[in-house]
Amino acid sequence: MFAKVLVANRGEIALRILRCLREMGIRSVAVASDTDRFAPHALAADELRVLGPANSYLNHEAVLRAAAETRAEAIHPGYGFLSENAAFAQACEKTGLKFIGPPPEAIRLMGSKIESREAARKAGLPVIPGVERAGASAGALLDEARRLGFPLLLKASAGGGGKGMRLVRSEGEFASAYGVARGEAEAAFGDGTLYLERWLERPRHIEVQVFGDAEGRVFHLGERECSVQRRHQKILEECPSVAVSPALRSKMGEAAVRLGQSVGYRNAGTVEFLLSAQGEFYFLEMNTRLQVEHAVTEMVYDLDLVKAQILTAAGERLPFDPGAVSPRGHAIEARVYAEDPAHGFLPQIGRVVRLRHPERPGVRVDSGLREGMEISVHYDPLLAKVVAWAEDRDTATGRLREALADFVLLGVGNNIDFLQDALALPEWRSGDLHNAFVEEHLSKWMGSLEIPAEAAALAGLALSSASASAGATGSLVDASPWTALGDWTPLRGR
Amino acid sequence: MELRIASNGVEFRVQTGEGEIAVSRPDHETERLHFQALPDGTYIIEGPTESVAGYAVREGGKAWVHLKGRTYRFDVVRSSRGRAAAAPGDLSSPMPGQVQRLLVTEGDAVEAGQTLLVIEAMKMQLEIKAPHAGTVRRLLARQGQQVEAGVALVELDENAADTVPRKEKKRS
Repeated sequence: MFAKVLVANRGEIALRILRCLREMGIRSVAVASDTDRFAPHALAADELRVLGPANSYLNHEAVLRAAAETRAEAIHPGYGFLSENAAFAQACEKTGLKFIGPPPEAIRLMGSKIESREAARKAGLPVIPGVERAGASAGALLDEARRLGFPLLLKASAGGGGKGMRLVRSEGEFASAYGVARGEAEAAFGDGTLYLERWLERPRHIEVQVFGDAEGRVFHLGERECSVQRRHQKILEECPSVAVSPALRSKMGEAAVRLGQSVGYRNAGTVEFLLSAQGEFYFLEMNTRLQVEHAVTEMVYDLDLVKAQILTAAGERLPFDPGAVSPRGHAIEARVYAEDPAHGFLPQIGRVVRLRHPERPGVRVDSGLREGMEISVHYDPLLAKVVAWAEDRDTATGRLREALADFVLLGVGNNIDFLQDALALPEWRSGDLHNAFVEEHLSKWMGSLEIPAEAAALAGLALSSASASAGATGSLVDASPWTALGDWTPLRGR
Repeated sequence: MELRIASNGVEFRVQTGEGEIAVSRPDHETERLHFQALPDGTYIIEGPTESVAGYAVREGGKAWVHLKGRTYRFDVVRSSRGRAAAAPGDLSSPMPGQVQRLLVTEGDAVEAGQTLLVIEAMKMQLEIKAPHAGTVRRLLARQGQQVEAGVALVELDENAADTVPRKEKKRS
């Protein structure tokens, strides 16, 4: 087993991995940007290396140097940042570091949406009709678009998380959408290659968790449904899906495993599918990393995917028998974002002035928040995940709603009220989900229209009382002893 | 101390005193509520029928309240306008971020719905589109500039047709 592992990420996922390392008795190294050096994840590790400016989490050299200087033996990339960067995984291997994830070749292949579609086709998976022509100009792509017919999706070959993706309803929208998608893809992935895909009407988003163990076996751990999305980013995820029968689960699971086997997959990965209203599934893409929503699988299958990842990277056996695991109950995850659901989900920034995480039986909170911290424009607006498990979907829904109601997060605009209202919709209750769910049922969401007098009274108290004004004029950070430390870097390598 | 505050378009007058608050709003009787502040930041509001616990903080001139599972944001209503509002025809940034790309220059005639510029924040790109056809009178944003929410980016004349006859008048 590794003696020391570096976690190349921030926020809730870095904390999640660092805690796992501690449980396993492995020494941990956190990395942080200058602005993050007192962030919760930065203080949760045995050692910390400060990398530099805000975008340093993407800096291969800085991360590798931190690993070398702290004598870490492996790097866990989390999700986002370097997690699906084949060049980085390769660079790790070259310097003798274990990259906790799949082989670089699998990352590279699946990282190209164009090549992954081809790989899926070869492995016998159904793919969505589309046009991939690497290096095609905007004009050539438009010609292909006319042939394929509108509406269609313009997607970044290197894409993910909805970045570099635009729905094009008609020919007139093509040029503008092409420019924006290309710009976004270049900014997010450093690769502006785009391709076209037929637009499916109101499909469900169903994904299969796959895993390749140290002995080369590839197996699956059921599905997650992530149909409720805004701007192509998931907000509610659950395991299992109401739309997946045991027979369909076997079919989709086997397809996902076949793809994993065909590319020599190791470690955790997710094969995403679209499930049409007619019950046909199509390969969408494969994410070669730990998924944000991995916790719902963990709760239903009662296992620790991060621990499984670390054991596998170290060449050790899994603590469970893949053939013997069985799902139990239902888990639902709600993603808490710093955004304004009443105004186009625009990102919100500010200071977390009051914070109380929910806690109750059956509820798990993976959060990167601390009272007093600043939420800035530099990073993804995901703040925390609240996951509720129960014996059935209805009970899990009620439990999650109550947990969200208990979540106190004041000072930064967020979607907690919106998530509660989404879970209260009859269409959620009946499981009538598809990827236009938010547009159809929640596009006119305005927040609370009934304002109780008690709330106004509390607001009056906060605005008039001196005791409630910690930070009303200055900020907590200014008064903090940490500031007095200046450029001192904690735990500089000894 | 009396305050005029509003949340989501609903306005209140709140008068705070020793352990008592009076809340009034249009078409409602004034409610008198008793409160206690607990050391952990919780407030207890003792109403006529029930007592409720909530949280309230002040940040950036706003009050943030958590009560019975919901979050409310209150602004202080100012009787005299503190800051000049953006003039009609001005397009302001709906979120803080960086000006990624400028797609028009001053004097350009634009169509309704045309993308004028692109703002990026939190790895998300937002297209700022013309709400109506018109002419770009002034471009207030620069490429790469960091902008706050509410900052004017573009001044857009209502209609290109308006400006053309005016010019012709001057000529004649």
